[in-house]
Amino acid sequence: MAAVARPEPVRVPPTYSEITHDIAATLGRPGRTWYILLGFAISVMLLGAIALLYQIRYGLGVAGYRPPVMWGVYITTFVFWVGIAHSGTLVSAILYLFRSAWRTAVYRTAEVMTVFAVLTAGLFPLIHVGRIWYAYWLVPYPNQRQLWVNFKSPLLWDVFAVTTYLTVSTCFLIVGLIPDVAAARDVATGWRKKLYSITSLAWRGTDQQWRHYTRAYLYLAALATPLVLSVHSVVSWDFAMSIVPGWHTTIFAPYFVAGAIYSGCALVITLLVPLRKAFKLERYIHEDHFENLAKLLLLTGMLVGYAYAVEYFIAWYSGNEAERASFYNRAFGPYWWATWTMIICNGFLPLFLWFKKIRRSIPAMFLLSLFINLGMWFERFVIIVVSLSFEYEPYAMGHYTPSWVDWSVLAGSFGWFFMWFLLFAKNFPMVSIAEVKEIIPMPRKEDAHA
Amino acid sequence: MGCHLIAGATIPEVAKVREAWSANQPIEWLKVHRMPPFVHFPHMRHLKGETAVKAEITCQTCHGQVERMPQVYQFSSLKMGWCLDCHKQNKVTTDCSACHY
Amino acid sequence: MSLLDGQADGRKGGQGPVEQSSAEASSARPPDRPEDGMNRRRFLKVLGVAGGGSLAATACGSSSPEKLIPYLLPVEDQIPGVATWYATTCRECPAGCGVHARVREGRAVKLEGNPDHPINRGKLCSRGQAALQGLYNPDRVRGPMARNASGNFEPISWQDAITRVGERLGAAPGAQVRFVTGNEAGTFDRLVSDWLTTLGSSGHVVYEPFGYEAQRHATREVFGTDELPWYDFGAARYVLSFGADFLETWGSPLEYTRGFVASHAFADGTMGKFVHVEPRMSLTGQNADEWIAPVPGTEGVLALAIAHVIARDRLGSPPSDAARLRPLLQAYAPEAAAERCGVSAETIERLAREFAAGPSVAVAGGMGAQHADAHATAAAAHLLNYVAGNVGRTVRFGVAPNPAGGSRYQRLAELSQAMQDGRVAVLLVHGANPAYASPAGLGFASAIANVPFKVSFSRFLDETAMLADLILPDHDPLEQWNDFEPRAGVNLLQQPVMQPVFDTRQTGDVLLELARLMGGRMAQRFPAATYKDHLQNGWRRLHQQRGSRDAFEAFWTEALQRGGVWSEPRSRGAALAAGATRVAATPPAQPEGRFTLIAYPSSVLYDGRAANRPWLQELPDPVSKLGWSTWLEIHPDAANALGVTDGDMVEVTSDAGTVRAVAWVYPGIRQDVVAMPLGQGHTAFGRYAQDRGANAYQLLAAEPTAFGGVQHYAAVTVRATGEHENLATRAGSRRQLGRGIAQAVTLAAITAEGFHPFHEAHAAPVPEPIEKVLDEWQEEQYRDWKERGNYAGAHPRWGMAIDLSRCTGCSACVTACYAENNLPVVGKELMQRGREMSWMRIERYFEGEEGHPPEVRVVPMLCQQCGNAPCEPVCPVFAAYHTPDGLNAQVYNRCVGTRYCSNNCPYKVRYFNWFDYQEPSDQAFSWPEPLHWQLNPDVTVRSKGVMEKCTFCVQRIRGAQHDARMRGTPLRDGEVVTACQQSCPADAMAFGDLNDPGSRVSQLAADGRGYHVLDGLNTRPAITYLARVWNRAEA
Repeated sequence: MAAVARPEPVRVPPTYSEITHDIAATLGRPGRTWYILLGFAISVMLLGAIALLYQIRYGLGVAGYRPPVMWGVYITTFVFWVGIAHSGTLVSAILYLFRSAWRTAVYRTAEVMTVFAVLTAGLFPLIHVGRIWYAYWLVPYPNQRQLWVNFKSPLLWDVFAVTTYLTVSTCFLIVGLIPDVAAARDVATGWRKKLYSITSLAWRGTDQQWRHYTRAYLYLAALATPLVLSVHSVVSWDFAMSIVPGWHTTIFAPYFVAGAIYSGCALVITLLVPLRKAFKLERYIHEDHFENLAKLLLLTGMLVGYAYAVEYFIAWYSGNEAERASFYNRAFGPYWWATWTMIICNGFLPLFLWFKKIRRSIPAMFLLSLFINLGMWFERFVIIVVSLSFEYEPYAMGHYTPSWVDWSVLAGSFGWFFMWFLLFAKNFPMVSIAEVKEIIPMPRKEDAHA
Repeated sequence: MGCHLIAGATIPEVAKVREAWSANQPIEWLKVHRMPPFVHFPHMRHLKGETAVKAEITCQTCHGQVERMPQVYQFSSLKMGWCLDCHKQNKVTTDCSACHY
Repeated sequence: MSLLDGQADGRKGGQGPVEQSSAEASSARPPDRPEDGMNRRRFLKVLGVAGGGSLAATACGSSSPEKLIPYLLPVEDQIPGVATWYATTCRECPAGCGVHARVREGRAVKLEGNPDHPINRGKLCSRGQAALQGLYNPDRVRGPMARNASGNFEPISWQDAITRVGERLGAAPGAQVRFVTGNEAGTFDRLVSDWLTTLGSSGHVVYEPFGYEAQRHATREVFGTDELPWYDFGAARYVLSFGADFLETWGSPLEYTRGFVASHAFADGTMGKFVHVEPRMSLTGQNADEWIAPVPGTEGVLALAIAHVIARDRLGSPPSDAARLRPLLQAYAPEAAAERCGVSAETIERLAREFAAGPSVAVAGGMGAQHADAHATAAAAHLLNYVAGNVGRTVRFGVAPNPAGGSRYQRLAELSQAMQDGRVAVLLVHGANPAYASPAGLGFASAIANVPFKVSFSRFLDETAMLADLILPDHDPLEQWNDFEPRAGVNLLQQPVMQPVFDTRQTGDVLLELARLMGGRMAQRFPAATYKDHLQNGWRRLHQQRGSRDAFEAFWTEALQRGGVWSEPRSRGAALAAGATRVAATPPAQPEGRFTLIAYPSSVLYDGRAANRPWLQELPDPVSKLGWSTWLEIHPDAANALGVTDGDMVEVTSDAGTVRAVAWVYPGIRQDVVAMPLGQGHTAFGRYAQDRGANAYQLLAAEPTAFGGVQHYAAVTVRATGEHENLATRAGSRRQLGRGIAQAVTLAAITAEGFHPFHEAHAAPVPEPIEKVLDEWQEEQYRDWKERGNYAGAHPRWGMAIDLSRCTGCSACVTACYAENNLPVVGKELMQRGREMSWMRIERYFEGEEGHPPEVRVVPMLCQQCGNAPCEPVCPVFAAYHTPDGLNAQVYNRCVGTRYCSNNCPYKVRYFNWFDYQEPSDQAFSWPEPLHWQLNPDVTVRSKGVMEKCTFCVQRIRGAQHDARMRGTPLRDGEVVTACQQSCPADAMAFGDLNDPGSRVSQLAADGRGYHVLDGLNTRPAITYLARVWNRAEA
């Protein structure tokens, strides 16, 4: 990550007071657009909720499952959101450890995204089980039936991986917020003042507090960093540990991690572009940041593209008939469109990022990020659905098409995510006041007299 | 039925039995000991099985002193843990498919 | 109609596990019988939970406070939780197989073949298994009904009903009373005839849609006898079939299957050969070593040509009078014949040599081959047998099944005409559905309108019953006293295995009561108080004839226990009759520019009488693998020409009519031929049958053929409608994609270098040492297994061996599994999404390159009970786990429903409960009252959201182990019999303990033909398949 270059210094640096003011301003009265967006997000979420209730009442049959495809849109979306969650920790923790200053303006957004993405992802394993009312059996707890869970099952590893990740990333976010909410607290009034007073944990900004704070933040960052690699590796083992052709491969862990960061960065961009417009943060988030993110995209994108190539190569090289057939089916079978969507969006489009023009063009980046999000969802769809639809037993092969329930729940998950995101954006500073102040040049006396 | 024309002729509950008989109606007994339908429990094995005989398991072991109960109540929890305790204690199978299929 | 007596003397002695709790779980309230108030027998019916009913038996459990309603008087042979078995006779088709009904708490829950029965020897087909769904069918007529002024049926009392009939009969001139029955060979048949005669009518019409008129006509011509010959497939080393589907519906399918397998299955390095001649490859054809598709209608020519060669070269050892046939055969020299039937002269010569070489048999006369010249085909086959000297050896008389009784389509046509002309005053119909199962052109339905008074004794509102004025529902065969004589010397008994489910009455009793009511001659002629007495009177005579030494009561009881009485068949040969020399094959002209349609009998729905059995509707057809539908089999090239593909709706038009069906492209059919199964397309007949698929009878010509039958061939045009539907099937790929699922070898190859099981090719061979290390590591793991907790000590390893050279793909095992394991029926819509729950499925694969006649291979696919099962480690809650005795158990009530196990199962034999099939309020509810009375109390009914699967009928294993424990002796090999194995007509399965080297399964598993499916995955399956062997010259 050190490869990521330091950005040129901000041209007209804002003063401390401006920073506090500008960023605190983002917490001001929400406008109509915000309410409309929030309302939209909530209604989409409700649609998903209704579909889910319907499914719980009548059974999973209302979703589009068609044996042998026993995992469909739900697990696809689960992996998608877990993936999204990764860039947050990467940007905030890893780049922090690498002391890359440009992160300061964007890491808060990334972190918030992480927390809510994990929150969303966590719902899907529940949504997808047949008897959601017994889902707690997946958690090891002493019971009179004297039963225990099966630690051999990758699904169980998931349970731990996701919950751990949720806990750590939440702590990281909250700790990072302390100095900022303190600043907000000093300008805020009414219920917000109360909220901030609580969340700022009586922060007064004394040297001692700062000393402890920076230590704590460093340790948390160190703690979070390995998770970036572990969590998605564990998720990938859900597939790699099985014997399904197209799943049973050793490359999955790194492949998934790269993909995760890739999709994460893409969504960060998707979120930042409108955000900086809405909150007028052009002075804090500008081309340099997008360019750095773009370089991250380029790197991970090419890792992913490489992984695709390796998959196909190994499938051929292994000489294993089932593997070969499975991958041939991916590219030229009934799901060719999904496969090619994925390859074009994730493999080819990022190559445009070789051009500085594109890297620095915000509209282009926005568009690109959308395609990559799409492509990454389809990557998971292809891996999960298409592999399952073409396994060992030829007689038992089948073609899966999602039903309205699958689609509604998928949409609902976005509604759920954006609801939280919007609520947060209006109530907490989306750019770290304290850390932005760190990177602007010290104000000199003459400035004060001018 | 023969017995109850004489035995406990005065007890009101027994009277009900006689009424039912004369009314040609089967008695609707309330079920006290209820096993979930996904459990298969052969009584015979738990009384005549060699281990059961060795462990001197009788009706009372699980159902309590029914002969002393004014009104029959559920004596044991009949929960899975309860089954397992006894099975482990008597070193008989704890294989799931012994009871669940 | 006394159940008690029946059970008392019919008792087979209890078997089966004691499962008190589950017994309670599965009984439900009996139906209300309005009129007969509270009689004592009512209570005897009642036991167990009222209210909750079996549907409380769900994996997620319980229902509100339950009440126990005991017997008022205990029945000595009904011990709660203990199964009682009664012997009776299956009446689903005219074959007359013997069954044992397993009865729990007064409910029949399973039918199994009667092991010492002369016809089916303990086996039972799908239709037989599904008889229970006739008994418990929710669409049964629940009591007598009369058509009211507004034209609807309204319930009436039996008294009223019978009086009405009495009056009408009294009023009508005796000669104008007609009675249509199915083939009832036996006491009932005689009763009907006598009854009519006494009335002064000769109008007893027997109608079996599958009347085999051609075959019977031919037999009369050639051998001058009215009975059909019996074919000894077991003794024949060479079977030559001209369109006789003897593995499906023809004659006595189970008996013939047994014989066929005995001679044709590979054993001790040898086997018989089977050549099937038919324009379409039926299930029977798929089992043939060689399939010959002649020009439609020319089988007779081919048969005579073969006979010609045999006679010419003096190959056979025929009786002297065979010489009389020479002039006739002269006309059928191979070269000339080859022209006409499109089979090369060489082939004809070869077939002749092969046929004459050893004990052989030629059979013909399947309904699927009953074209205008079918009688010639059948006659030709007779002659062929004669010149080869088979008559008296493999072709015998005096013991033949009589599937049609006296049925002739001709008679029905005459009746129809009589009705048209208003010459019928009263029409009574029992056990026949001519309004459905006859060509539309016959106009039976319209003719019946001219009959002033129509009475139906049907158990269901079928097409004919819908036209009746009065319906007097008969008992189900499983509820009634009766007998059946499928053939000379075999007298089978039927006894009620349980109380009538509904307010029905046995037709025999109704007829007797009518006789009493009408008084006079009738009353004197039929004095018996009940039909049972009448039956016993008949059997008293039988008792004397057989000169049995013991008293009648003992004779009767023994007969009930055995299921009837039968003596060693005394068969004889036959000599040529005068007509034999007049036989001539005159094939019908080929329709110009049109297809020849073959309307063939469905091996699942028979003639349509089984179409209201949900199990059978859902059972994938053995050939097409489609359920719930009617399809048109069409050759790939023809399909391309028409621009249709699988699932396209096509319109099929003949001179007689037009129907729509879904196209199914099938390489096993001639390009100029299309084929459609009979049995679907009902316009009535209950929720499962009505408005489903098409009725192929609509396409058949109404005028009777020369031999007085229906012609099952028709010239049709096929048109694509542009509509499309997803095929209702699980079948994904039709080909094996080179994965060695269903393996086969030719006789030549296996004799030359033995059988080499399929091995997955590797680009680079795995180094020897690595293989070794892997194996050692595997073994290490197993040793580890063995020492832990439950796994310690000596356990059996339950395993199965399936001999594919015996399996015919008939799918009886599948239905047996449905019956035994409470599998829900999901319906067409879900089947189109591949969601059927059949734990056992018969996979069908096509081999050989596209465009050529396929080699069809079938493989029964059920859980392989892997020793190293991929499904087990991935279950997060141990719902899928390994039992000490080597089963991959599934603890339904522990399952959370992640479905990971199914993803990881390479055989795809785990089935998920997508809906609440056992919840009445659910859209997918599968057991409408009283269908759920059939549910097996020993098996949990699974609930929504859990995975389920085959566990080798673990309830039977545990039950047998329980019995063994109680009697204190170890389990014997063969004591545990799985449902599928039990039913298998070909006896293709063996089940037992693989750890016991002496067990049958161990020996079969060690067979040289043994292989494991997907062996390369190291799943260590407990099921060993024995490769199919084709009797072919080329390796």
